[in-house]
Amino acid sequence: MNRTLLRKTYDRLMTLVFCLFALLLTAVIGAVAAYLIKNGASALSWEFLTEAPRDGMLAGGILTPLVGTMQLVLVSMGVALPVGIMTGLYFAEYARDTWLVRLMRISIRSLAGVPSVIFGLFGLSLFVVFMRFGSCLLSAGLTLACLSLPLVVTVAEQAFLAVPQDYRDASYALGATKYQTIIKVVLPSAASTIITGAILAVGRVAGETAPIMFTGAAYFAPDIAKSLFSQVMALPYHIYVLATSATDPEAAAPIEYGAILVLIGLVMGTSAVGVIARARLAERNGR
Amino acid sequence: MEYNSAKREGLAGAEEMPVKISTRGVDLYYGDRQVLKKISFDMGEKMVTAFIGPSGCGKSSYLRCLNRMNDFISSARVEGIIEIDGENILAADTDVIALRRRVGMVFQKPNPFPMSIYDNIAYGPRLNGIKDRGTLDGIVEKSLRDAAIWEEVRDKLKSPGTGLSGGQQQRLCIARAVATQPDILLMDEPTSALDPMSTARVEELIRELKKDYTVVIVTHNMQQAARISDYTAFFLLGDLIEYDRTAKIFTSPRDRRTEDYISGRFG
Repeated sequence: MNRTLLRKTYDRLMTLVFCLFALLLTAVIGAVAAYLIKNGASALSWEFLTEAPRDGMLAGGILTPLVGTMQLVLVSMGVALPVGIMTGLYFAEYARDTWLVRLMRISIRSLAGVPSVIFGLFGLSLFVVFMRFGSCLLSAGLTLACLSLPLVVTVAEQAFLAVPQDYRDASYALGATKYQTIIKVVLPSAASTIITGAILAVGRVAGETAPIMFTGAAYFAPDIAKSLFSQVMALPYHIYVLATSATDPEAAAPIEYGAILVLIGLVMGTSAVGVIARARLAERNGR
Repeated sequence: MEYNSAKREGLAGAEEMPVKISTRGVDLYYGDRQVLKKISFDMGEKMVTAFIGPSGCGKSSYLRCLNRMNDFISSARVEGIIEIDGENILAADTDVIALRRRVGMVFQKPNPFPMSIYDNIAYGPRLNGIKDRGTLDGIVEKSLRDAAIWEEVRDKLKSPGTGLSGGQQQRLCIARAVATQPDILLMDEPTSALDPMSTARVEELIRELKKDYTVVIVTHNMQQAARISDYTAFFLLGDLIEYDRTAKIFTSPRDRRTEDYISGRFG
């Protein structure tokens, strides 16, 4: 074999290898999805989504944990988004490069690497015990907000930094103040990127179990939470409970898989809405 | 006093024109580096004044003194006096926001906001507190007409400004700048990112604009300075080498360095 042919063969071979790895990964994800659908699809029905669990959680639907997860997402994002976006804004637009600012930035980045169970214990001691909120929707939501803040802050800061300086110059040259420039130009330009970050955060928050176990998630609640100070059921914790301590594992299995499918669907649905919202916004802005 | 010394050096230029912008002994530093050295000259009202000179000569930096955009560079320090209508805009108590509403600016790269054509133009007037739809409509139309782009965009005011061609975007930016009804328009190499056709349109527009505005334009293109300006200032290494009627500068410059530059011997 001459060298040219050898080189070409080698080139094709490597292309094939890379392609195989990509396929392998897709196959794994496909297998997981197929397995879940095979085991859980039979449980899915309108009643499954609209009825509360009953008979020791071995029958009925998942309404209470489903609504509970949505409530947790709302409370946590309601806190994390404004706080995170304003913090990101400070870092990107106002903070100078001092040791204090650098320390703050590093601290927030490091928070992203803290295991979620630590956040759970932190929430337990701060919100549940010290602030006397008790184990409830509010404590769990705030704990999840702490968990997602590093992500939201980092994404928001990057989004603001990515806004071209040209826009700011144009705004200042028209006699805008810094605040006006940020509200009218910088924030709208960064919005689509921030939305993407917010969706990542929603996905993370919706799927977490450890941070809410000690802070507000109930093993069982007869009804959906009517106030911030009620305990809530949540999908990931519900799945965990069914998997580890169901009285009849056989009977619990379909409900468990059904709940997993709904949770995954919820997270993917949120992403889809976010992708569409982002595209719409980008189109309107002409970028 | 300083005025007289400037005149003796032949820098005061025009004798008979009504003065709009008067600069006396302006020094500009970026950190330790001196970017402008004792700049003194007068610019006429409703005239086009062009700044020429090689890159790094200080002409853009000087332009940015006129609407205090150098304030955003933390290491920048400016000394001396720049009077617009007799008021020193370098004074510490100058209302910079009000100044920038009187002195519009057009940048090198067209930079429309990522919003609709209408909102781009209405941006400045809205900052001034104008909310009435009818008033805004009127301002938008007049500004777009002044910038000679109304006919091209009248049917798509709601579509994004960033969807226009480069030349149209730059005229949109000019329209946005005139929408706040400034007296002075600063242009920092406004055609350097445009094709020859768009450049010709913008140059034509500048000649129109001087009926209502005092235009100060930085350009790398000497033919452009010759075509559109009434007065030309030649900057070199932070010094104002020569300032005179454009016709004079391009036909019989006093300074050897001016002559070398305009004849293309360096730059």
